[in-house]
Amino acid sequence: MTGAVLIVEDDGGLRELLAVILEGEGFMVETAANGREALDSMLARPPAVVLLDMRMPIMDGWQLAMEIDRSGIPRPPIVVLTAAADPAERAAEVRADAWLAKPFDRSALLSVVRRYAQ
Amino acid sequence: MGMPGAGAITVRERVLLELARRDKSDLGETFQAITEAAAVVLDVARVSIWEIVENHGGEPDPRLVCKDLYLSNERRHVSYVPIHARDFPAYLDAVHERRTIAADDAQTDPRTREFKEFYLKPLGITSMMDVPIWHHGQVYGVLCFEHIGPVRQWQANEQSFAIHLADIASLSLEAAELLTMRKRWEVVVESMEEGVAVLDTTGTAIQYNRAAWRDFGERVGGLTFSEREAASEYVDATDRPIPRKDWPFFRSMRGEIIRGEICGFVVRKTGERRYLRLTCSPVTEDGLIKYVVAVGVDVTEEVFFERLKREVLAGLAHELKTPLAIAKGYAQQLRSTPTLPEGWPRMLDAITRACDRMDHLSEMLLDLSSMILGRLRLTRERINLVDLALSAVRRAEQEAPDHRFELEVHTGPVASVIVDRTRIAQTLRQLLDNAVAYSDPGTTVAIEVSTDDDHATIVIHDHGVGIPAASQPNIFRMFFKAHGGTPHDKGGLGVGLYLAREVVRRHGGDLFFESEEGKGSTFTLQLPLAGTP
Repeated sequence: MTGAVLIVEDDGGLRELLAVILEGEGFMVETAANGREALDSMLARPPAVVLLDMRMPIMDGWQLAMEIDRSGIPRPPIVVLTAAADPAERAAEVRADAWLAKPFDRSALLSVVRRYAQ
Repeated sequence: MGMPGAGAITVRERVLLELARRDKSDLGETFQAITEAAAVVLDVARVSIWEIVENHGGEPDPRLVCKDLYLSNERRHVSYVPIHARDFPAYLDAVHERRTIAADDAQTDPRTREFKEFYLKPLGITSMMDVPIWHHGQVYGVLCFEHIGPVRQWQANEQSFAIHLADIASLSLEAAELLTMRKRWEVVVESMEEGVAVLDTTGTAIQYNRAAWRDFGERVGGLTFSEREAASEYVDATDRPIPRKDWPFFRSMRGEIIRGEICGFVVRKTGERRYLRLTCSPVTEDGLIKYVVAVGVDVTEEVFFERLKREVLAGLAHELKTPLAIAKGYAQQLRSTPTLPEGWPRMLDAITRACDRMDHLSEMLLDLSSMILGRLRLTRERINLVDLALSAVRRAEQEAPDHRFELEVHTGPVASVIVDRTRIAQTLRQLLDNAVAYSDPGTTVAIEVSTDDDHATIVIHDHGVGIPAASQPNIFRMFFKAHGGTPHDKGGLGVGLYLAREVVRRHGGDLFFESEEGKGSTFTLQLPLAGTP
């Protein structure tokens, strides 16, 4: 195990669900409610993969991706989690490695996380 | 003593000239001037103008209606009661012969003697001269000279003077009519809710009505082009700035007729936005565009309401996704527990399916709003339509295990199309879902993929309830449900086929169908084939 799955999602309910599913499968989980918190967390403990919601207050997904590049920290794999109609485009905008459209399938979530975090 | 004859003609000429010159905007005044001048110049006791009104209350009932009667002795204008002309057929015939009736002895003249007992004798009238007054090529009425005293012989020069006077009466009728028409037109244009303006080639409003001043003059800038340009920015219905050269005025100056386009004005000083539905057309004179006529209706409220509707639609659909993800996620999380109580797996699966259905509905709303807003973007890639059809059929087989699916491919292994994979897959799914929804379990759904020189075609044929003939012309309409309110109503928004065809058409393809009620439907999806890469 290299590091935690960092869940960046402003909706508390969804954040908790993701943590429950992933912890239930034995993943370490860190959570952040916005890009700012995520950046702090990443600086403290580099994650294995970031599950990134795009629309968030304070610092959104686009800003976070920019900040990661600017800060010079190693860029972790990013999985965009989006409610947008064109998730692939959202993912491309932040050069993400994969995407999950809300509402996602549990199995799809696990398989994409496993790809980067085990 | 000079020559009385020559002097008299000069007076008559001067009178005619003055009458012809005078302002004829008031018909009543003009008629009074004519009768008075005629009475004085020809020295006649009574001169009058009568209109012949042929119908009364919709029935033929000719009447002579007195418009003015000048009495020389009393030097005043009076009126007279209408006369029922059907009692005087000979007179009416004579008038309609359109010649001057010069009745020296009016009480015996066959054309006028009908009036003897009732009119001529009581009033002491001995001689009459009636000249028809023309209007629109018809007899409008008569200019009537009535002489009291010894029988008088009407001279040729008197008759011709009378005819000139009748002509002036005709002219004043025409002038009055033009004026009435113009006034009526002005009232109509002025009271219109639509703004109407005539712009010259510099864009200055040279004529405009009240609504035009309110909506595009006062509110968004002014009368001249430069005033408007300084005051407002021009935008389209979605608030994108319109480049100067594409402003409606310039387009019409280039000859274009603009029909009902929405043009917005953002007032620079206040930020206020107004939207007009504009119709602009060029007016040419001698082959050159001389004016632009602009008709505009303020549709600001409608534009805002429409926007609110769409944005709420899209926003709501989007906001549904997170709670759906939570509900679906927990249902699946619980479902993954190895030891579930009896019945729970089925219940949890039902929750997952319900979430997927809600998600599907919100997808449709999102698609619909982006379609309406023109924001639907296609991410095209080269794909093999056969593969897409195969996976769509496999998915349908899983979801509808009680139906039989028969896939036939007549294309060779590859039918390359350059399409948005997700959208075309959605479209196929929609068509297959419909085929399943409207046919009984156990029946067959046949899918055939083929190609010709230009097109790849997928035909989906079911043996279901079919589409009622009366509904067939409407099935691609937004929100139309062919089976709405019938036992075959499967719910939904009635937008599936609308979206499906729009998506296919945006790819340069088409979607059409044949259907017979009780026998089934055949939907044909056609997409342009991609050339070899």
